[in-house]
Amino acid sequence: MASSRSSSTQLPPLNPGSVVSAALRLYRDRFKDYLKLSAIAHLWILAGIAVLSLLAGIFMLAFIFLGNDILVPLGAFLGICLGLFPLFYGVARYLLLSAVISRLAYKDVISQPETTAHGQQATSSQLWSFFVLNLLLVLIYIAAYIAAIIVALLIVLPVGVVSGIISGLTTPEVGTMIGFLLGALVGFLAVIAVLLWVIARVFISETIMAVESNINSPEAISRSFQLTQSIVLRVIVVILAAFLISLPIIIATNYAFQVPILLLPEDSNTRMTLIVLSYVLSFIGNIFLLPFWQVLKGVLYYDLRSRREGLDLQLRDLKLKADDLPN
Amino acid sequence: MRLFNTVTIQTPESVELEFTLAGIGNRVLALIIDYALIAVAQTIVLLLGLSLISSQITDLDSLGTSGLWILAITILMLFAIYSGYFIGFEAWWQGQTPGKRFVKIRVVKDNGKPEGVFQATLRALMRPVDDILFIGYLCILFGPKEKRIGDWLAGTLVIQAERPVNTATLSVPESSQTIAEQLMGYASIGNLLPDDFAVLREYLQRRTTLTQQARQALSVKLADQVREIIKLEKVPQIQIPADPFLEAVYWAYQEQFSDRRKPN
Repeated sequence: MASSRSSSTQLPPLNPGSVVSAALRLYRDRFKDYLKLSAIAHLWILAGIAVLSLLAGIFMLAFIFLGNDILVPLGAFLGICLGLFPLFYGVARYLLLSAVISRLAYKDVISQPETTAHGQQATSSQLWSFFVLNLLLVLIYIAAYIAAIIVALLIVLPVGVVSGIISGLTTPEVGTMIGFLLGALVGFLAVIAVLLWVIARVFISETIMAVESNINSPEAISRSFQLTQSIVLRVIVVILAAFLISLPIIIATNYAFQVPILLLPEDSNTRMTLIVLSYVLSFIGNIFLLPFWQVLKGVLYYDLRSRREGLDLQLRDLKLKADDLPN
Repeated sequence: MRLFNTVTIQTPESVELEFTLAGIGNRVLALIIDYALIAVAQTIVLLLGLSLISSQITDLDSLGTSGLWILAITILMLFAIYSGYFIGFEAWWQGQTPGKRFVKIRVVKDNGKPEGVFQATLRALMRPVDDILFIGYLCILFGPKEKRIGDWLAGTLVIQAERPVNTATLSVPESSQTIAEQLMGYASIGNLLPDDFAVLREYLQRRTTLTQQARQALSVKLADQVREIIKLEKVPQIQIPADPFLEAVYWAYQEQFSDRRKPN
């Protein structure tokens, strides 16, 4: 790398650890902006759930007033069906705001910072595209999970043979024991590896859709595939490093109360209070964690584009427009 | 660039040195690698110790004097591996452990000089303290100089290891060299700045890792810009594909101005 490229302010490709550090730094620099977006996003989901429960309740009450007790579950069902629409709307809002955080982070990295309002305005028309994108991603994850289990089974088969040989050499008990432990370990690792691989391949699709114009959900996913091709291992390392760094916060907010909850007697009031508190705490924890992951996607998107599309290779004065894509 | 924390050190000779701090991401990755290596070494020692002990005793109650000695030595060795690993590598490998070397970071003293045995020892001894309840992690995350307790005590910084300036030469095919010789005749190669040359070299080195589409678009774009810079558009257009053209310009520049090759 040239040591002083004064005419070009663009960063060269980063190593995985630096992607994570840079994401944390960007998050800290615009902490209030991102936290606000994240809080609003989470409130949208809460609102969606609230409306759904409200509708279910109203329909149940209505049927009770009609005096037909048998139809009460039907009322609840109708209420929930209707309530799914506001819930989906809440989820779509959540997804949109998360994508906006990613977009803002990317714009910061390429030194074309955007205000929150501008970022939201630029993406507002894509509300349902993000919903569709995430539906597709969920389908991909489910398919990946099934594939992972098949792969794991295929890998575990030889382990069975090995344990059979060990059984023959020692005792059946030892063979079974070793076979079971080895099989569980190998199978678990295989599932994790396949899932991580798939997650890494589609990791930045929402950032792509939030930044690039005129791109629909399937295109965003296939572009994420294209950008991560041949450097998927690097993306996995980034994801693992980010996970390790967020681990203390996950432990503190999501699991801190689990131990006392497990130790307390089942019907005590303290236990109930703790359970409610743990939900509140993990909700707050997620509000803090979401921007970190979204900013990470923004930085990673820049990194992949400079690696795979030479985004940082620009001559003086004549810089590539960020959105000027070789599509 | 405000993506990374930096620290400026003034040497006694009034020279200002700027270092980019390692960043929590790199430090976590380095730590994972180092801990994995330590775990392997410790497991081997533990298994050796246990097998020695089990050969000494006949039943569980009779862990005799020699068994106790082996146990004590094993525990001592586990500790020695844990701290010795960090002290040894950091002191004699200029502030780097295998993990740190892999992610390209190193430990230096606050004044920018290489880390010594004393600093490495302090850092290693404070490491368990930093690991308790993620104290070190929080210190690195929120401290302006990314120092954990061990770093504060030892007076050390963890910085990104300097990347060597890219001077690797590219091999340019004969055909492009011929074009270069023609270009030197009528194009103002000298209009290119060292920075432009650096971008060109970067492109030529990294082009194989780019996607097909991006590579095509970028090469045409760079070629157009270079044509403009070296005043080639006034010469009757000779159709040369973008990649060989860029190779030729690279080669011509290097032939004519190899003394300007390194920026600054």
